[in-house]
Amino acid sequence: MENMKLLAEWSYEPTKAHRGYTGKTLKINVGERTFEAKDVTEDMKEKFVGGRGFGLKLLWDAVKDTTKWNDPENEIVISGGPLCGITQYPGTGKFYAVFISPLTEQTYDSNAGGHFGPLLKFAGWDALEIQGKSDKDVVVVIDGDEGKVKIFESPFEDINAYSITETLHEYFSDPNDINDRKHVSVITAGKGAEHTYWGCLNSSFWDSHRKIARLKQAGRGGGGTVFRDKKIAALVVKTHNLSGTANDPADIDTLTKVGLKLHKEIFTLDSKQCRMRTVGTPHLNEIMNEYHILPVHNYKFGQHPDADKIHSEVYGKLFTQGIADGCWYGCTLACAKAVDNYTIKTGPCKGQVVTVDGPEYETAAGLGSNVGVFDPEWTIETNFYADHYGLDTISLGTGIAFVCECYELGYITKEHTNGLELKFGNKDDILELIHRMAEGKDEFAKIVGLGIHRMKDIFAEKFGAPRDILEKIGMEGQGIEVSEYVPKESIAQWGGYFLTLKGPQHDEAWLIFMDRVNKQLPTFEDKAEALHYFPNFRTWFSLVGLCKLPWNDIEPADNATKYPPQEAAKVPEHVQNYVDIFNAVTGKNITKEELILQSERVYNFQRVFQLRLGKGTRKYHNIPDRALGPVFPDEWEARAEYYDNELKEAGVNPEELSTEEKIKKLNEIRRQQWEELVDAVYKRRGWDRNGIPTVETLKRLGIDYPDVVAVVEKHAKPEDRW
Amino acid sequence: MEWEVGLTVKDIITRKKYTFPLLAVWINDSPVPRDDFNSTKVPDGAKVQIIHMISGG
Repeated sequence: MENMKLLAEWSYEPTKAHRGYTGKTLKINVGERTFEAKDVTEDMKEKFVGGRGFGLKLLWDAVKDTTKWNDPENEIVISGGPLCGITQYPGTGKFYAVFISPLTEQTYDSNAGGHFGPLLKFAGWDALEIQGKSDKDVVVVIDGDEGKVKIFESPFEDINAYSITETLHEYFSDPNDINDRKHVSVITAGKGAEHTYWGCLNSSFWDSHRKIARLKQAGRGGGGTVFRDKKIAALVVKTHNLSGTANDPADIDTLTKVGLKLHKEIFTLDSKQCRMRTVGTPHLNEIMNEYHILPVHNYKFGQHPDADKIHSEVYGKLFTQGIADGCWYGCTLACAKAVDNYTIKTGPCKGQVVTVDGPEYETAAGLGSNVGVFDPEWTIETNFYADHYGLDTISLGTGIAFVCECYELGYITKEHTNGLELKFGNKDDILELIHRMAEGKDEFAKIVGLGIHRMKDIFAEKFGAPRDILEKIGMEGQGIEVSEYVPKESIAQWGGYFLTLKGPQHDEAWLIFMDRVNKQLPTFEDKAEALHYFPNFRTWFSLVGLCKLPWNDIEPADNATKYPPQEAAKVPEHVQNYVDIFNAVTGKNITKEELILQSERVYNFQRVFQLRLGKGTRKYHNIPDRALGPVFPDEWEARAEYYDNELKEAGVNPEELSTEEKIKKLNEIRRQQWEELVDAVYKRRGWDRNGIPTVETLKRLGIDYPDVVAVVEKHAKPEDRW
Repeated sequence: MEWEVGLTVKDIITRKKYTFPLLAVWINDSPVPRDDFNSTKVPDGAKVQIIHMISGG
């Protein structure tokens, strides 16, 4: 590669991490080409901890109430957190990206593995703010070895992820030592991110076994779209400050001891439990199908007779086995599976032999069963292009599933799609649509790339599709597509998806088993308690820089017998591990209750932030009919006995009703249940009837900063108090 | 579910089509270790709880 043209440069003195923090954050304005270092205050550490918490705090200070996703002051804030980069415990390489989302027009946080988060910290920074909009494509480089930040003019004509990532690893490392590429990590997006609202951020790591750069994704929310709107082709970090003690932990002995305990558990039990080391998250494929949770044909159904074709054993044979597939050092859960030596069959990379990261469960279901395709090779190819183009595979899968259903209902035709027959299972045309979305020229592909929320408007207003049906079957909330689990049989999971801070993804609560299968949450108060505890517990991972999977995709041998069932679901021994490693790194002395409190502060702060941006009230906690139950007769008939029983339990005799009448009746019942759930959850969270945290809640949490209280007081109404 | 002589925990799990690996089983409020599912007989009239743990990211 030719030398890149330097546009701006700034020097700094890299600060080594101490007790998990460097104490410094970096702000880069790519439009003005300015740089700024800020100190991390003790209050910031106390109240916001790190990661997503730091991201939200820095973004809060950077934007106005009226800021839109494509305004220059919108930022992408990237931060790992105090535990990010430790190597003694599995799943410790995550960063969290925070930004105002093009899809939801409010704050979003999305996470990725790979090496970027740890290397950013070890290059001297607890967080990175990227603000402004460049007038030309740039490559931004943070060099922790030289203590320099540089902005180069991008030399790349093709900015898609696989076209530039490896080149940049090579360019910024020792040309005589291929292993030196591990000291570099690159974030990219791609043309798909540029031309749609579904842009993801690809975060690279050097795979020293395969000798290639691989990609993990902060997939959700459109962070890649913001990245490309700022005309950033790539963000590079480089440092040789890389060791198992680079965080300078307070108590390395405890950290090592707790880590070893979990490593032993994984080596002993994973093969009998989730098999993460051999098949990764696709271990869920057949399980979701058995329990009617696998999304099929835009969530119409939860099962399909061809599901055995996407069985985890099929994927297990396609994944290369015997290689340590951790995406950060020390992760023995090693679920970053990959397909090697795959020959691309379509599109601009046709004929190339590549390694494809994944697919993970969400991709296997979204770009599989949900669009009616049960062909793993097609899903692998589509996964490759989604990453290459910088597209979120979840929104892509759910969004195209919606398009396919609209096509089959006759709401859109080949005239609208410019010749594509977008029926479920028509894999060639679906993949062609994805290529067109990345290319950014086809008008229909551009509409699809705006997401379901906007597609509903356009299909109704321009194509004459019936608005009421689109609202029922469009699986989105707050502007973003639902992730890949059928929620219609679990009241608690309605909340797990649709009573969330940023829309229906599965990072807050997954309660289908607890609620529907185990029947452990019989009352609305029980469900509300789960929808308080689990979102807050899971938020904590995003504050400290951890992956959630080692929490409950492996459990101690005696977890199920040592604790009563309700408690066992929390995996208490692993919760204690997290308390112990937090204290061992930071030197603090928190309890498991304070761990929840740390999360609750940030959770409520983010809720107020959404309010500040004009969202964050009850009307944005909406749920489509299909998430509540069947919309069409064939959905009902596929599970007739189950749904008839639901009516009987509600005191309705189904034998007196037609299928259409049954659907209408059940929907009425479930709408009522939904409203009861919303009330119960808001009460438990300390919010008013309109979903706004009360000033008392802010005070209890210690986040009653004047500007935060002012937002609440501006919007809260006396009649909404309980 | 109908009880029969020799009914084991594993038999119940199979009949219920519970394929999820992280199950917790309690018979008359006493936990049964996963390694003993095959060999543990279920007495007639027993209270059996089968709980699915949570997994997934």
